[in-house]
Amino acid sequence: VTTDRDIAPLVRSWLHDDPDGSAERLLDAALAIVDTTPQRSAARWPARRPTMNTIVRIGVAAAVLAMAVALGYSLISQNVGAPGPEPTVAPTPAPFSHHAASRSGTYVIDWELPGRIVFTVPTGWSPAQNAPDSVGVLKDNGGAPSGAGLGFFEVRELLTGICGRWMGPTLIGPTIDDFVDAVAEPATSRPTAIAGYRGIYAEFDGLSDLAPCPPDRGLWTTHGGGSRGIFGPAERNRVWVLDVGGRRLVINAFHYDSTDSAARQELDAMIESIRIVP
Amino acid sequence: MPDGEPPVDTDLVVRAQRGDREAYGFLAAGVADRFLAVARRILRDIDLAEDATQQALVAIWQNLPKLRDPARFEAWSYRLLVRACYAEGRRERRWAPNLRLLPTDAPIATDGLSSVIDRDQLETAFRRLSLEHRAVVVLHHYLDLPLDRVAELLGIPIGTAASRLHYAMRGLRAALDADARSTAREATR
Repeated sequence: VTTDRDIAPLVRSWLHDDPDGSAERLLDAALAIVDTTPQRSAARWPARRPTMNTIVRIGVAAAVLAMAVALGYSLISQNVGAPGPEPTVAPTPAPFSHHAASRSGTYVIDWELPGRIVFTVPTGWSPAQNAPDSVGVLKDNGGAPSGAGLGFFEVRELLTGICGRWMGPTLIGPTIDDFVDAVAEPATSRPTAIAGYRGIYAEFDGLSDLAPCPPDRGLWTTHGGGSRGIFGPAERNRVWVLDVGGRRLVINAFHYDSTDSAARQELDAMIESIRIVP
Repeated sequence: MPDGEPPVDTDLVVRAQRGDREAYGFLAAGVADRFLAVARRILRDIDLAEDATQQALVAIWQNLPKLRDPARFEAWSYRLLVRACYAEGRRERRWAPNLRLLPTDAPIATDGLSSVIDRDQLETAFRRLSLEHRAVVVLHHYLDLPLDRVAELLGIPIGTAASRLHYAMRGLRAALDADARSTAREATR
């Protein structure tokens, strides 16, 4: 009987003696595809980017300047001393975008879903980096100990293993049950419905120790190239997994045990505000 | 990363991360032949290997902005290649009929492999391994990567890499022994 030691040189020799071909033809084909393929953003949801690039910085500066001008004009045109109007929610939800959602207000997410998602963002929350089918807002950038977040995803694949992305992606089936079975604590699952769309509510906790994991750890990715990163240890996650006209919408809220009650209440209020309208 | 391979120019990686397609062209040209060789050895099929390599090269371009450390480009890119091999290999498996019965008799002693092994037998035995096991064997015995690097590249614990290598080699050995036994039986009829 042979042993591993006997066979290793044979395997090694066989692998090295295998004929090699040139990749020139496939390289040309691959680079032709690359020519028309955009890169995916480094941003994930929730993504932490310590610095803004120049374009974003200029955009933010321009937006702040525009707001300052508008505010100044508004103050000048008001009667001094007269009570100002109470803050009101805009009657028409603003389209959700990275810059727009820097302010409180009611926003609509215009995906190619059968319904449009409408939700109200309170003051003090900021938009996460977003992909076409992953959108979110964060409190204190989502990080521990005080952060929290709310996001919307069309999940394509889970990033399995102790460190999420580090362990590689796993495609999951398209149903609500496929997702819930894969991520949730079974005891927490129960039927739910939002705006008439049926689904399952469930909970799961994140890793308590992220030290062994690389910085690009994550939970899942979406069809549109977005992904759900992990912000901090021991995230308390809630998910509402809904069937919206045959599309699986995952609404994910998270906080930490140390997140203050005001932020949690704001998070709950945002969840309560979610509507899916035709 | 593999022995004898020149290191990847991290300036090219950084430029490609910023969307420089010319830089990526140089990067891709530098790794494509080696990628194809690895994919071919894992998948044992040149068409599948070319598809996997092409997919990997496109996926690397798409995901380059997510690579935090340009110095880790090679390990990261090999990981995407192996994933593409898994995807292509599984596509193959859905369509490929299982035409061969595995021998079930207990192992018997042989008087050395050299007399019974030829390339076809090793090829057949290797194809019986799972893609995950093949990948560990190829990375370790073809790219000459130590097991800790194999584990890092595949994103698995080193114990898992060691286990896969052990069971892969045991599977190869058992299959070759069985083939040898079968050959011997044929010869005595």
